[in-house]
Amino acid sequence: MNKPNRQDGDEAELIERAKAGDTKAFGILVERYQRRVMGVAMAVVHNQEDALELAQETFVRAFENVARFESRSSFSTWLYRIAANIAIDFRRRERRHPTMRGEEAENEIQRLPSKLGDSFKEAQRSELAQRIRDALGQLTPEHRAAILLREVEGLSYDEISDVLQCPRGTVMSRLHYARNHLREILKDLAED
Amino acid sequence: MAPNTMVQCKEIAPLLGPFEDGELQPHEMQEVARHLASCENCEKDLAGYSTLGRLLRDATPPAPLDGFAMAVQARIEQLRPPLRVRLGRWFETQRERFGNGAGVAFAMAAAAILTVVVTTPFARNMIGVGNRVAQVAQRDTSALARNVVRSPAALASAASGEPGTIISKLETSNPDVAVWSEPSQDTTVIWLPDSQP
Repeated sequence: MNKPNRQDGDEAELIERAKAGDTKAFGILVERYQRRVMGVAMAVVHNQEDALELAQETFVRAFENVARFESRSSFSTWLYRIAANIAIDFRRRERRHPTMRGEEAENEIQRLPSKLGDSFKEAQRSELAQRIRDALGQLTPEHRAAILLREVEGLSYDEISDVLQCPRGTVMSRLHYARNHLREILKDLAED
Repeated sequence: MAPNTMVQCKEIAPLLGPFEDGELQPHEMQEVARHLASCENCEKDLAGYSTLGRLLRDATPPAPLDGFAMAVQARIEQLRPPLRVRLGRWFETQRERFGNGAGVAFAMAAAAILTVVVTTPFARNMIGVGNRVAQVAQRDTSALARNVVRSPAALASAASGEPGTIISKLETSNPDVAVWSEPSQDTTVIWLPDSQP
């Protein structure tokens, strides 16, 4: 099930130009992968504001290290792995130094007149979305990351294994557990 | 439900998710499909997985990314390019300014400087070692001449003035006894003064 580890010609050229320090070429790669990198960060940290910052950091770090990218894996998988590492490190730090979370954080975001706050409020208005968010919150970060990378980001098992740096069998068991747990919590919705 | 179907359901359950995701081997896909054709419960479970996936996608709207790429661009523009890139750009500038010949000249000059920098310490060391050998031999020759002036060998060696070939080291402080080695002949010589009558 491995995907071919090749870039198409256009992408390979953009990568070579980025290696030579061409920031505009790298900018095109950013446009191309920003949504999925954001998705990976979001899957791990489960907070949009943090995920945005981490996604930005991912691209900065990728640019700094693009000269070391050797096309052994696809560029996208390489990026997702950086994103996952940064997000996992962030989560570890957060565990040691917990910042404002939960109701307090939501109130704070609601006071912000930003698009982030607006979209967050919009999601809050939906009872359904809130229930699903709560259900996801009951999963461990590992199980949540696996299910979101699969269902929302559409990554293959091999890609998830690569991004989360765990065996394919572990990906399968995490997905199995996460699905059954969510179905149990959302029984009335998931069996409609 | 028949008992053998229940056993089968237990075995099939962990494969339903990968079946939905298209991540099973072809023979496993066939096996699950065969089971699903005859098992309503597993069919229902599979539909549940599908619904769950849709719910998760609906509840996770794409994040607003307006201005994201520009923010990243601004950050990477501020980064100092790596040395390799800076050198490449400098050579490129010089090539544009002076043409291709200048590039070759710069490369040769850089190679020459590198050669001098790398070889100078070795050369200096070698010259230094030669000088030191000459100085030691000279000093030892003089000392021997002072202390054992009546030794024909010592006189001969002192007179020969060939540094580093005859006397390398005096190994005694007794002025009446001289001990030295001759590396060229792989011999150690002990010289005693004539006994007094």
